[in-house]
Amino acid sequence: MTYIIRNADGTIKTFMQRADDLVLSPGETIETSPLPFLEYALRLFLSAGGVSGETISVAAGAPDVVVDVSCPLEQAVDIDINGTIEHLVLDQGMGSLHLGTGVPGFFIIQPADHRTYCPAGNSILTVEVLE
Amino acid sequence: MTYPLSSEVNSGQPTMAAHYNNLRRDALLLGQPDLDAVSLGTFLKRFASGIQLIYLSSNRIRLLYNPLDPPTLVINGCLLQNNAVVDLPAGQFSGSAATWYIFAVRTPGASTFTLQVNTSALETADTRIIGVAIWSGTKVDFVYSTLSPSDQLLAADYDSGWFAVAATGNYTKAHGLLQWPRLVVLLHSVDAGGTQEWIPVSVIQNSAATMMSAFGWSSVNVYADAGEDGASAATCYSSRRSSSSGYWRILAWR
Repeated sequence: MTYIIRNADGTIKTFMQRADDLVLSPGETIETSPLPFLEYALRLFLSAGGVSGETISVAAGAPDVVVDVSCPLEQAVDIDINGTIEHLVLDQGMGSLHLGTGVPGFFIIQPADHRTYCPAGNSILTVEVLE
Repeated sequence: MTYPLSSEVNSGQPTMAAHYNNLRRDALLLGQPDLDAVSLGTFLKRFASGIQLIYLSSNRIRLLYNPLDPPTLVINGCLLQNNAVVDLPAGQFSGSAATWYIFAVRTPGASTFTLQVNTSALETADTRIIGVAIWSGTKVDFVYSTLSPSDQLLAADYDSGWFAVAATGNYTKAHGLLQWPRLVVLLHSVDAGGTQEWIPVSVIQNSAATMMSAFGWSSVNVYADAGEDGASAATCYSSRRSSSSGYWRILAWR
């Protein structure tokens, strides 16, 4: 079982292995998922070059960064890239996004639907394009 | 007093009473006079080493096994040593909230010992108290050994487990230690199972140019705050890696 914490607006803030120690902030709510914690964490898994859960840094002008999106059992998923929503059609739950590296700055890739997917853990990826 | 008192005898040499008595005194008193020493059996009567207890899921308790410092006890004069972990089975706790005492149990014919719990602290000839479990009435809140050497770091008294983190997240956890923790560690993992390298989180990136401490604690809670949106190191800033996502885990010791 996994414990899911929602913000006051209904979006998912985090998910955790235990909740008996949890102190909720005002407006936050808790619910459970029957999925085991590790399985829940893989519902939407973003990675680049096999790396997930950490910031990926590339030099400006480097080849495009390919972000692999895994969302098992889904046909498509909406991904938010710096506020722009990309509708990504999946093949057997897998898809990919290409990020250009021409301009230094950050890409923050996360689920567009924060009520369904938690924008934390492995479901959010930061790519930094260095000058 | 010379030690050892006894000396070697040659083959065929009659063993004199003095030989025997010196040997006996060496064995029992390390060669010292009766008035100057207790016997080794008395001296070692309460000996214990390598006793480390941890909580195991489903209200069980585990006695850890370290081959370099195996669980070793003297019970009822018998020198006992375990050669593997020993688990207290599930279903041993019941009733309302109470302190339960963890006993090592000697079984005649065995040189190892097992575990037992009881709300009574009374030892019997073949049992010895080695720790305490605090039972809330529904679950074991914490477990500790009363015999653990102080030079070993015990298992954490509070373990949050892994939880997903991202920039701007503020996380408050009740550690339940009933006192100010003496030590708190915040760890970062890139995967939910913590199967890859753990990084201790001390500072995080709060803005492009600012690094700030990531956590603090009171006698009740541990507070951990991620950095700002748009930072490359909002949840982990280290020479090993930077991250604005991943998972945190909080460990605390009383």
